[in-house]
Amino acid sequence: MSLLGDISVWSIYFSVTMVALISILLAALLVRERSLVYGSFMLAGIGISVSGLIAFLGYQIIAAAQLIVYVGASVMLFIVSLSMLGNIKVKTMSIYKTSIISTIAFVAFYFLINTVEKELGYELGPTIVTSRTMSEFLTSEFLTQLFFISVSALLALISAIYIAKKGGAGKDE
Amino acid sequence: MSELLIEIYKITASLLLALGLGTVLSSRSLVKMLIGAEVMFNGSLLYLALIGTVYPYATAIFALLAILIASIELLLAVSIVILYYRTHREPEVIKTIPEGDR
Repeated sequence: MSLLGDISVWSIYFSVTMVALISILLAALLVRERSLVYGSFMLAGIGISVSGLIAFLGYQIIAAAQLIVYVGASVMLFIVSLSMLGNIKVKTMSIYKTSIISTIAFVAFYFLINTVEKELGYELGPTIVTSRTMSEFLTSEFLTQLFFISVSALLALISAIYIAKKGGAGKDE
Repeated sequence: MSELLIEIYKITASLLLALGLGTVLSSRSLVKMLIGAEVMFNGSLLYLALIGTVYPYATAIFALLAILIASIELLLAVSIVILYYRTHREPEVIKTIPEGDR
């Protein structure tokens, strides 16, 4: 194998490790963060790094959807809404209790994930997902699910408008 | 894909789930709990993407639909939290019960 081949492999290892470390670091800082606005910015950072990790697996379309829809629209709206409420600070539990809970949860989740991966029996690895084939799947095999989610999105939009209006009407009275 | 990369993905997904759970339990604030739940969602999405490389197209569609549902849920939760904050003027969800009412 040439040196260039080695560099590309090590660059993938390095990139994946760095992006994973960024997401873990942001999640760890979020636990003790008292300001809600800064916490929501950390959530956006976690969303961006997770989309990078998903892109490395070969799901570039899903990574783009995560960036555009989840981080770019929902989380940004979340940040703007929280900023309008002012800089609210909340109390957090002591670091020792949080560490114990997180450690136990990590061990349990890792054991669960490991068991499922071993029982699966297939070799995991990066894949290629093309948008044309994905569109065909979505409109043929998953049309019912798409319909129900579209209806749910419409109902959620109507509910959000009603809740916002109700809050404004209450304030005027 | 090398075992090392798979381990990195598994550890990252587990840590995101665990730290998200820690965030949810560490505070009484509604918004902080919501943010912790979203961190757990990101961890589970990463794990779904890793395991689902066996069936890539079905996994891609499930992940896409999960992202859509999570976005809808986040937006709706934001409006509820803002309404709660306007009514109660505080972000905490659990109040101390007065002595006489216990």
